[in-house]
Amino acid sequence: MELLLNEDQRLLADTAARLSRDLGGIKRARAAVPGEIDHLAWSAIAQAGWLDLFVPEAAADNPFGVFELALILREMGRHWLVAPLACVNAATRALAITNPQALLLREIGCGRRIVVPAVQGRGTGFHPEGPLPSIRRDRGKGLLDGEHRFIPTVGGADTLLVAASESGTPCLLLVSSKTPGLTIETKPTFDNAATSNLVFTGVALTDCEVVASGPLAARLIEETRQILAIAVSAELLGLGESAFALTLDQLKTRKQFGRLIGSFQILQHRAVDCFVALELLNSLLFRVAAAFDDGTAHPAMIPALKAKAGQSVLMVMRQSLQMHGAMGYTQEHDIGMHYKWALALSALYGNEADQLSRFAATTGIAS
Amino acid sequence: MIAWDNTSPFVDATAEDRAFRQEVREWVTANVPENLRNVVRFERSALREWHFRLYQRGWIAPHWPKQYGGMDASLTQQIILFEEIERAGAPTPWPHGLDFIGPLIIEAGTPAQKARFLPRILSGEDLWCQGYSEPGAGSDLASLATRAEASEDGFIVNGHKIWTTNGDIADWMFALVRTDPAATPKHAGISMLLIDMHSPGVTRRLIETLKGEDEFAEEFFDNVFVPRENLLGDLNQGWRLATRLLGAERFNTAHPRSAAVYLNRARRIARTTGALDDPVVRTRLAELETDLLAFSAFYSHAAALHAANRAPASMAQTIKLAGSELWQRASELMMLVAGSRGPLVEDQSFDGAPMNVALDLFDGRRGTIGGGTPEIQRNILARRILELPA
Repeated sequence: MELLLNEDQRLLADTAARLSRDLGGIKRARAAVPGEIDHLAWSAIAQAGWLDLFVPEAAADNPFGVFELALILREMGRHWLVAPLACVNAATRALAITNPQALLLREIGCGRRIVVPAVQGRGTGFHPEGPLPSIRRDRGKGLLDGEHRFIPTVGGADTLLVAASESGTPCLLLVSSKTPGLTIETKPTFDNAATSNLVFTGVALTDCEVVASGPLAARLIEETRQILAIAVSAELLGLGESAFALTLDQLKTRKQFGRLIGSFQILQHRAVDCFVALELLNSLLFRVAAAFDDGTAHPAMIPALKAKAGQSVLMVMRQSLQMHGAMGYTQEHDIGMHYKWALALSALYGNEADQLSRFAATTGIAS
Repeated sequence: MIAWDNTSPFVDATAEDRAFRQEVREWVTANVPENLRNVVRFERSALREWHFRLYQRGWIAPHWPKQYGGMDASLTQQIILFEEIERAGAPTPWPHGLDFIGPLIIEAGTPAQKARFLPRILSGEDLWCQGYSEPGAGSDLASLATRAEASEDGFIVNGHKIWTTNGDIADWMFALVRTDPAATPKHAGISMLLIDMHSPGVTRRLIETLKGEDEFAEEFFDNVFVPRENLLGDLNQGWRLATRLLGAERFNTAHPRSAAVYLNRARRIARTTGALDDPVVRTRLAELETDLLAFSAFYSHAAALHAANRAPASMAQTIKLAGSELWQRASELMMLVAGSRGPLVEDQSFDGAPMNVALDLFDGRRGTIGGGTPEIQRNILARRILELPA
């Protein structure tokens, strides 16, 4: 169903659709170098004003929130514009809360600098979140040790917003990707992207900038994780809608047994189930994003959203592949690309099983 | 941990709605009759008293225009009323007069029909039933065979209606009857008649439901005379009216609150039987809760669009499809977590709340039958919305 949008939001969504169509596309995504950033697209994104959505100064007359970020990312998913927009905005939001005047924010806003968050810690795989890197004191000198694993889009970043802890107290640090003692291990993933492990071995605290610590840092780390989960759900929804559009096309053009295959009731009913799942996900995404923005979201809503996004979109992908027959088993057909990106996005920050466990733990179903 | 409230996960959008909810909550809490409050089952007659109290308060027909005794309430306010009645553990009044035929009489009735029928629907004096299904016409409703032949000043009705809620006790039936047997398509030969169920020639038989309760009936019409002034709308235009009717029914019968009530019962049962310690049960419960949250979001989104006159054509079917299957799955979860206590006929107390698992389980079967099956909804969505080929 259409969203009830104000004038600014409508304009934003229209621009997002147009820019995503112009700059994105599966062809470009196939040609991308894993882990690297498309600078042409990135500067257009910066010009559109999408890199400081949450910065109060930049957005003085249109204060945007996660709802608007989701509006953009849904379009990017629909039209295959692959860029670290979610990561950069999640980072700038935390930075803007700690210091809205920071020069860095302006540099990020115009696309000169790219900062991505590393807030997951040393996850084991299935549960992507784990212990944060920790600070030890060696003769008064602070040194950072530990890991962040499965961090996307680090390749294009010059700076990382790193969650860490000192004697159990959380903090947020700005760390250059070139800092001595930081090793970045980047590996390609099957969606033509890459994931990185960040290994900190005695990184000197004097080389880092502490932007928050204590309760503020704890809050920002949690909110950054939540924004990333909402944002990736928005990309998943757009991607699911794109796959479903291809599949409807297939149902209306492909003939077997002398009939269009879309005339078979069993395929019609499966297509309706895809339609309904995407409709519900769409409402859920924007309702949760709005609740996040006005501070009324229960913490369990975010894992519920990410769980439903993974579940629903992967269901759509399975049905879509199936209805494409053997074409769905080939590299060259675009529907397979949809499947791979959806799998990677659903695994990111915790897949539907992991998110469901989190939901259960935050709603009293499981302790 | 902040308590998880699956009955109203999202806050009301406006201060006006929040104030209305508060007002309704206080009044409902104070006025639900004792014999309907959190009861496992109730006598059909008990609902009449509750209907009358809501009528006296002026809240019986929030969706009706003020000139006919309604409130001209927004859809959001209608939903708030429904939710707060459910929150108090009470049933909502029968929908057949208030939700189904009332709005149709307002839309298509003559001034005389409005004056005669509407006040008695509001006050609850007349109990209505819906005469659609026949032994040979369930999902394929348009093939119905009950016929009404024109007589000098009305119609002579012969036929057989079945699976009618309250058919055994209703005062009036709004019935789809065939008035032109030769019409093609067959939908074009159907009219809607308002039939006095106390007329000579009407016989009825109670049909016990799976729950073992009185609710269903079948009705035989043997040369029943229906005066011409009881034709609703134009002759042979009944199908158009009936499909409008189904639209209203869909919005009203699949509400996320119904599934929430069952899921919360399932939690209580699971706590008592030990099922909540079981990882498989936890997973199922979590899955249903997240599905419920998505449906709640969809429902409130739909209400907001409806209020702005921008509800899409797919909305009613999507609500019915998603909502009824969710409600049914929630009823099945109650049975699952009850384990060996599920089949017991007696009422039981789970976590301090009186319940009858089987009654809720069997009630859940209604969701995917009444008002059009999910299979029919899928057919409609496939053709009309996705425009898939025939």
